Amino acid sequence: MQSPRTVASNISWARLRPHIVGWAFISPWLVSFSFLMVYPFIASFVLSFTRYQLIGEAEFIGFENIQRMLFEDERVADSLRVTFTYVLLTVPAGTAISILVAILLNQHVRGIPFFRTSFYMPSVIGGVGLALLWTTILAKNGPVNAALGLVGIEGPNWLFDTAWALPSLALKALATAGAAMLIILAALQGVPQHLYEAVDLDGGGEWAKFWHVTLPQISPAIFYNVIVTTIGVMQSFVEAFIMTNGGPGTSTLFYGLYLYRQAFEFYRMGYASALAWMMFLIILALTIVNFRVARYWVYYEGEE
Amino acid sequence: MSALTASWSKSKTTQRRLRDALAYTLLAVGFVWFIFPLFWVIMGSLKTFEDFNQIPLRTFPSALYFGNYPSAWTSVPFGRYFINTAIIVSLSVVGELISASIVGFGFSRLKFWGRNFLFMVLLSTMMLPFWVVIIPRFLLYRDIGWVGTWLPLIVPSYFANPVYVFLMRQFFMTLPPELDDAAKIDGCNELGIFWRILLPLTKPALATIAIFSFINVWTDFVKQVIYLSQDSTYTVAIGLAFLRWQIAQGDPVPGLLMAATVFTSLPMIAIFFIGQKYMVRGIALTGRTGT
Repeated sequence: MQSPRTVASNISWARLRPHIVGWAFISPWLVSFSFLMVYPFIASFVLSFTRYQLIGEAEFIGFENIQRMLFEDERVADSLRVTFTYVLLTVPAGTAISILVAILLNQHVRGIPFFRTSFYMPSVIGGVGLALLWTTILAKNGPVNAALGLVGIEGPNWLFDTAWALPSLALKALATAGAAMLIILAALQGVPQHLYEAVDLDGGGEWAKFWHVTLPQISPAIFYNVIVTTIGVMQSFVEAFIMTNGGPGTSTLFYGLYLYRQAFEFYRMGYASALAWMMFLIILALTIVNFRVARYWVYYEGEE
Repeated sequence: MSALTASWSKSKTTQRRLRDALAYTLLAVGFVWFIFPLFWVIMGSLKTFEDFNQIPLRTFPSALYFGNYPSAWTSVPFGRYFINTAIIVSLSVVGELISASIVGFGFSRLKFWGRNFLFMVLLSTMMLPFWVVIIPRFLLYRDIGWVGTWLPLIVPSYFANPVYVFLMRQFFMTLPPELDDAAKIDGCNELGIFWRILLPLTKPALATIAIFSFINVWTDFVKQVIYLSQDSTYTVAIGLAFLRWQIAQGDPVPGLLMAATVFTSLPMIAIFFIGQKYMVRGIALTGRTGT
């Protein structure tokens, strides 16, 4: 015969157990979330108000970093201009290309797996390798200029020309639209067939199918891609670091590259943290704007 | 009547043929756009220095010259860098697999307080810019003496990357809940259900994570350049960057750079051909590329 007390504790243990087990299973993520996300997120905010050069103590300097960042440091404005231009050059065009290519790969012709593989491959190489690859493509006496020469145009020295360096990096970015393309392709293949049959019954043609069925159905995938690529492109670093080192002048000085230099070349950890937080706020604002605008063009099932 | 049908079906085939021709033309344009750079680099890696100065520029080398490969391989200690990268990558992949499957199981098959809220939090952290957290992370690793070692590159893999957790969760959700109930009746606890019943069924998802994390860690230049500071610990990506800067300063030997680009990309291309099926499946399951 059990005492009432053990019965009570048994009941509460039985009640608690699933919660404890659940938290135990997710505990690896709780650790990284606390120490590698929440803590650094708050710490970089606090560091923004300090001067800290890696040695000694961080010194509280109030709004000095923020003032410098917003009003005194011209490089910040330069790098923001470069980064926004890069976003505008790559995100809309990249989205359009990935939609077009996905539709193309969704056609019922022979050899699609071969083309899908080839279109996705450059995205896999990624990083420094792909940056170097495009450095050789865009060389003064490289194939791009040779092709232009065939039609009588003398190509610029792409990566060393103030006007052309940033468009060159954008061109390289568009050659890796393969990853986004696969996401849209997966969405295309998920469009229910009966919706197309409904258009057939109404006597609609291919264009009506695309406009009234395909596009609304894949719009959430497109939206997701726009969000993710905007966030990613805002943080670009490797292309400029490897291909142009931010130059010539400041023509390819990405915000990420400038932040990297402040933090890991000049060891201005406080100032770099302020820069990092401003990047966070800009990305947050862009994402909110994206979500607001999405109301007008993204279609979600079950909405009127 | 039959004539009418015949002409109708004929115009249908013509239309169909036109469409196919258009599709193939565009596919060919896409093929050149995406593949030509790779092709160019492979050809360039087999060219001599003189080949590059020929006018007009030729796509194919005058003769197959393999000398760029050994020169590139020894111009920076790529042998050691490959071994270093392989160690970092394999230890990271193991960590990602273990932690993502455990946490993904928790978020999909168990019910506990705060689960849905925490999962929303997990999803939102995927949007947090890398640069916002990098400086305090760097200081944290410095304070525990990890900067200059591989630990900041490897250890976080054992604490569940949200992207892979999401993928595992989506995969676990496709498995029927009756499996868990049957195992429970047989006296399995949660660990048993996870380890003996469900994990063996998640091999395709694990393969997807293994491939994505392999590629991501191999090409993750930013972290490597921030945390590593000694030649003996450097990676392939850093070696490539060195080569780039050497060439930027001295005589340009494009063939050498191209050869290095080719052999450092080979692991990616190999893994891509082996695992393409799993990558495509993973993308379809989660709607993201795992990067």
